[in-house]
Amino acid sequence: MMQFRIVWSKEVVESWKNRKWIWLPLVFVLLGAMQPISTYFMPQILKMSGGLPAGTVIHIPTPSAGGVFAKAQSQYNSLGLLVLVLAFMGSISNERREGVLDLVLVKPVSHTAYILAKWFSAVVLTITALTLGDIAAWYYTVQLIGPLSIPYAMLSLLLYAFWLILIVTLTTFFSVLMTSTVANAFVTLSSAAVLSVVAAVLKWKWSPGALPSHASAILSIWDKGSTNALQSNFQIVWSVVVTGIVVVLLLVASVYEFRRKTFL
Amino acid sequence: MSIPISALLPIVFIELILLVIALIDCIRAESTNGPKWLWVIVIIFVEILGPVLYFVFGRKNR
Repeated sequence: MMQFRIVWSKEVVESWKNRKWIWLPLVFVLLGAMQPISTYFMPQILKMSGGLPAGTVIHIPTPSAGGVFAKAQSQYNSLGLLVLVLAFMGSISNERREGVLDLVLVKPVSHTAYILAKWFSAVVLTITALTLGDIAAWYYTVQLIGPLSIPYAMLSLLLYAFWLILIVTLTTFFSVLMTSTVANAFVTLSSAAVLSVVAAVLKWKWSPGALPSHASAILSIWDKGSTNALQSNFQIVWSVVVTGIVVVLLLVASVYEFRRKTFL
Repeated sequence: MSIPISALLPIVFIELILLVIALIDCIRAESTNGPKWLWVIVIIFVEILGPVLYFVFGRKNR
C-alpha cells in the first residue's frame, strides 16, 4: 500500500506537469456538449449552408432526448477513444525509454504496485473526464432537447465507464509489451474496433465489445418508456462481468510481462 | 424561434481555455518537438484536436 502511494504521488505530479488533468476533461466536456448543440441547431445549419434547392422538403424527425444523449456518448467511442489512447499510450514505455523506470524501481517499489498505481491513476482520470463530459451532455440535452432521467443517464454512463476502463487497461498492457507508443496506439484502437465488430456481427451480447451498444440501448428504453425491459436484461450484467474478468487478466499479464522485461 | 445563442457561450469559453492553456504552455516551453511556430498554428487553427496533439506530441520532457 505504501509502495502504491509512492508511485501514485509521482503519477499525480507527472500528470499535473503534462497538463493531462486539464485537457482530457476539457476535451470530453466539449465532445459531450457538441452533440446536443449540433442536433438542436441542425435546421439552422442546413438553412445557412443553403445547399438545398428550392422546394426541397426535408423532414427532420424531432430527436429524442435519449437518442441525442446516446449519440453524444458515442462520440467518446470515436474521438474520445483516440484522445484517451493518445493520453496514456506512453505511460510505461516512455518511462522505460527515458530511464525514469530505473530510478523508480531502485526504490523499494514492487512491480505490481508500479503497474497498479499507473493503471489506477489513468482510470481515475478517465472516469473523471467521462463523468464531466456526460454532465455537460446531459445538461445540454435537457436544456435544448427535452427531459432525460438521471438514473438512466447514470446507468448508461456506468456501462460506458466499464468500456473505457477496458480500453485504458489495454493501453497499459500494450505499453508494457511494446516500446513504440505509436504502435501501442494503433494496436489498442484496432483491438477496440475488433471487439466492437465481433460483438456486433456475432451478436455476442455478453462480450465487452457490446458495452457501448448496451449503453445506448438503455437510453432508447427510456425513450420508449418501457421500464420493464431493463430488469429482464441479464446480458448487460454479463458483459460487465466479462469485462471485469478481462481487465483483471490483462492487469495480471501486464505485471507478469513487466517483471519479466525488467531485470532489476 | 429564437436561438439561445447564450447556450453556446460556455462551450466557446471551454474551447478558449483549452486553446489558451496549450498556447501558454507552448510559448513558455524552452523547446518543442518540431518548430514552435508550427505548433502555435496547429493549436490555434485545429479545433479541439490541435491543443491535444500539442500536449501529446509537441511537448518535450525536461
